[in-house]
Amino acid sequence: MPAFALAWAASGAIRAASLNLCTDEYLLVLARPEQIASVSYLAAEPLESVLWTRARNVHHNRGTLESALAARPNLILTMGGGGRATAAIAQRLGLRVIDLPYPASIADVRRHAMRVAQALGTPDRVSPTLVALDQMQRNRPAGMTDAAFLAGAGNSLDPGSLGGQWLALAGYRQRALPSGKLNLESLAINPPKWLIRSDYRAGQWSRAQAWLNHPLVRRARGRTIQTDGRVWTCGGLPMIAEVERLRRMPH
Amino acid sequence: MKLLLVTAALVIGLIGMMTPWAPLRELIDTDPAVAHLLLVELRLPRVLLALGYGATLGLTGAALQAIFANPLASPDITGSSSGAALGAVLGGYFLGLTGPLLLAGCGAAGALLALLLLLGLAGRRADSSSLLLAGLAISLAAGALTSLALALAPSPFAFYDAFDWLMGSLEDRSLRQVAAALIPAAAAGLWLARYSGTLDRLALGEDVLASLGHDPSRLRTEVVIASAIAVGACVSVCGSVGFVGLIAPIAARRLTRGHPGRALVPAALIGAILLSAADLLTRLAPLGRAIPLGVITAALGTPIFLWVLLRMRWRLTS
Amino acid sequence: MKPLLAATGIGAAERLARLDLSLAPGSMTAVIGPNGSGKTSLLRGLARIEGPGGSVWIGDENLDAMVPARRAALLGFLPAAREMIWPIAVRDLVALGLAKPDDGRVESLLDDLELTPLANRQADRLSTGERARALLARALAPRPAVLLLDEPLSNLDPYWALSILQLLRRTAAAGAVVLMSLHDLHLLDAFDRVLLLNQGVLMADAAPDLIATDPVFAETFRVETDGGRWRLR
Repeated sequence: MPAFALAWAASGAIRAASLNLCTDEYLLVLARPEQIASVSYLAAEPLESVLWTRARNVHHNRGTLESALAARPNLILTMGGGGRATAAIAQRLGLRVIDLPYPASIADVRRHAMRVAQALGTPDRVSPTLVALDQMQRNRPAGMTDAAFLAGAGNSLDPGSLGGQWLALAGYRQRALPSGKLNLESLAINPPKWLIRSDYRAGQWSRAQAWLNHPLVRRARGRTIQTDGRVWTCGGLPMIAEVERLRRMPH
Repeated sequence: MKLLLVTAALVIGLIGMMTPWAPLRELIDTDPAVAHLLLVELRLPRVLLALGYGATLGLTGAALQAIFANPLASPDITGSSSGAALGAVLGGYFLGLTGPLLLAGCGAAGALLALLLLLGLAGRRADSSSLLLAGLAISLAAGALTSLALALAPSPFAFYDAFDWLMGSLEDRSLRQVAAALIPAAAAGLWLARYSGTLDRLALGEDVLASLGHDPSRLRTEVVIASAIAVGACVSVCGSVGFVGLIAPIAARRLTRGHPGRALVPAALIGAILLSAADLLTRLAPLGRAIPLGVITAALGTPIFLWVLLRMRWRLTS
Repeated sequence: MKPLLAATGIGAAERLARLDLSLAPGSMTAVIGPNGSGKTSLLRGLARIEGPGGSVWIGDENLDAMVPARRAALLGFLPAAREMIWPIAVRDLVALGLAKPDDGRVESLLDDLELTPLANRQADRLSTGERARALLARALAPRPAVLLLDEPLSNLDPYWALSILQLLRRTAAAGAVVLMSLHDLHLLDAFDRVLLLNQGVLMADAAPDLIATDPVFAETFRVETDGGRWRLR
């Protein structure tokens, strides 16, 4: 243990702090309530997180290690970007760290879940989730329908991306689009069979939302399926339920 | 001459509707209903906005130059475009106003405040340096505040919208938005155009104008308000685009032998042509990437602006 | 004879006490007085630029009730400050005085005021005297019934002072009313009537020869005439 390690670092019971919305998801799903020391403030934001009710009575941090220390965690969960630097500092303070790379595939999501569950010592909580995921992957839909994910300003997904893979699992093949964006002209001329439209921040005005109100987009209402945009931000465990729901939608 | 300009504007508008030609041609053969839809819902708004916003910039630029008695006054340099953007941003992202007409109102309010501030800072008929400095200060301040507002806005999309607001864009606008922008702009523009003769006589000095029965302060106020409404409405839909409001009137005055008031309508036509041409360039996407409209007008307008400045300086010192 | 210009209650706070004035058609009247005596305020008041209150009638029409087009046809005003806000060519400047384009009229005015060689020059590149002539031409262009001229002869050399007086005489002879302020007291003989102002008050209103010998004149200007020459009192 380094000389300046934190006093509580070596204590027995796991108290985990997550500094990122995506790691929040893993923590809130897989940890026992007493194991959750802190989550990022975004997790408690109804417009951002589908698990916000679970995060209400938990300490909120600003995504920095400093803001999470008040909750006396001995395990830190980080993801991507500055997470690596934070991880290094946390280790010097004697804290255990799990730094998860951005998941590039559903297999990555599964691996992350298992890793976190193992660190928390809660394999019982991860099994049902993984079983459901396995089953879903075994029962892949027979055919794939041409579709496109649609978010503000016409932003869509890359077919090979994590979001594209989840969409495929729901039976929709994300169309390959130039610059990953849906363009109004092509929407009029050669529309995808289905538009999977994210309702993220739909109530707040922005140019991006105004784009979605264009007559050419509204015209495609008959072929639009709404989806909860919040789960697509991270493409993590809460996607499983959403994919199951989308499977039941018309193809 | 006016006929020539009108024809040119119509021609460039038509080109705008037809570009790109290939997919449209294909569609006319395969599915004429969709071709019609494309033309009306997508291309027509864009062309109308290019012509209308351009005309607004030209007309208000000419009017502002006439009443400030300064060839450098224009919606962007006087800060009214930036003020309009700030007003619309605050209205949309913070006050939660979604109707295009309400946003147009916010834009007009912002533009008006900026112009009133300019009148207060620079005075009624300030020399070039005072006008430039005051206008630039207001423009920069409004631009910075707009960026700040976008960064602090509740919706995270706001930050990505910044380019649209600060550099202008005519893409993907609906006919409803076109109406919200161009109906107020047209009304204000027609109101201003009535003053062509009066603004010409302003060239004789305020006293002569007053002796003819016009009230110079009231004229100034009306021009400011009408310009704010027109610019504000357009900026609320298309964002802020610079230089057209500066260049078009200067070009127009070359055609009218220097008369500032007579140049109002030609400036509108020239502005319409300039902005449509810039938008066509944007659509042709040189360099393979989408270049925002304001960047193109700045790239083309800056050398001309510098030339005007140098010529003014040369006139003063020669 | 019925006055062509009839004004009542013309005044401006602190600068000019309210006065009434009637001018007959065909008359040429000079307004004289020391600096700051209210000459400019009188002319501006008559042109309805300054000083609320009072009314001015040209013939049977009230100046305040006229539309700008009518006013432009009846009233020609020349301000003392020959400012030009926009640089436009002299020919265009003169043409601005006309409601409908009339090249013949413009050319004849340019000719009368010897502005033809300068016709295409920008107004801001003229000397003060040249600009004064150009603005005068503009005021004369629509053949207005009333001409109100503020110091039209200042900064002009004797040739021009006399030529313009002659031109104005001709204009008055055609039936117009000419009222102008004047500094050069040697030229008083060209006028039918002289108004003497001092500190905003009308001190005398008479023919030029009577004015010159009136004691009020010497008191106002604080100089006296001595056989055609001036000296301090």
